[in-house]
Amino acid sequence: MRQISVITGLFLLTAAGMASTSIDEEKKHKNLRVLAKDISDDELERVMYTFNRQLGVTCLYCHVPTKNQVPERMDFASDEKREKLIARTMLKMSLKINKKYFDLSIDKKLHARPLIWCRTCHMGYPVPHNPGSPG
Amino acid sequence: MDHKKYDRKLKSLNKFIFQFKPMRYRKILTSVLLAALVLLGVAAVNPPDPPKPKNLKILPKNITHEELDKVMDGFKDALGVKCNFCHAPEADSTSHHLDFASDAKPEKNIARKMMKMAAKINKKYFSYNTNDQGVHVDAVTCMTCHRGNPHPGEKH
Repeated sequence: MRQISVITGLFLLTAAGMASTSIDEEKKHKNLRVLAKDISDDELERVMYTFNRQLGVTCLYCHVPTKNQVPERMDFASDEKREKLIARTMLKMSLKINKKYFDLSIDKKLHARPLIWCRTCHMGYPVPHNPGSPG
Repeated sequence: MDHKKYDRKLKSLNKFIFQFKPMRYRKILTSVLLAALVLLGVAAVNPPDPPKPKNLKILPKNITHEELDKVMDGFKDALGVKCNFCHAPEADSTSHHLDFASDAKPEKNIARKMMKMAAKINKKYFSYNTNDQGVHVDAVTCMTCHRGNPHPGEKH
């Protein structure tokens, strides 16, 4: 009897634990507009670090920290910074350029490797250097 | 008989010529000659207009020769190529000239597509990009991605 109750208890706890994690997962990405809403943590992180690398910036270039919270965390869902809105437009733009002009469909989780990408123009700088030349 | 006829003709011709007073006659001759010389000079200084471009599909058809040259030089700089990257040689194999109107090389049509693309990107996504005078400046040019390479993606 005791054994059964222990096992049941353990099972319940595990189930509760799993449920809470999956709820956390669902709650995590609250404000995705261009990327797929069901993108996993790992996939999203990979995309974000690509932005960091290709623009030579840190998270703070587009994201703001939370207010009135100690210790301070990043408020990734906030749209407060203009740069984040620009990043969305740029992401949409590059997906479209790949598809329309280079016949390359990129999924919204960016599994496929785009031909035209942040780096194509930014080359590691937040604002691309444009060597002046007409044409 | 014939001689008489000839003499008569000559006389009438002389009469015609000498009805002009000699001074006036010479003046007219001089001014006509001068005008002819001036015209010749102008023709020599201004070579005839280069032939009009025949196969423009994206660039405006009434573009001047100088403007077209400038655009083409821009392409050459930005891609690090020469004219023959896009333009096919003339069909006549003994000629060393390029047939600029020909669409034989696929690169030429790609160039057209790229021009259209850059114009659209600038209009749709970078319309806010202006200089100090408020005139629109292209944010995206060939150079933005190509940076002197004909195929920019291949190096990374």
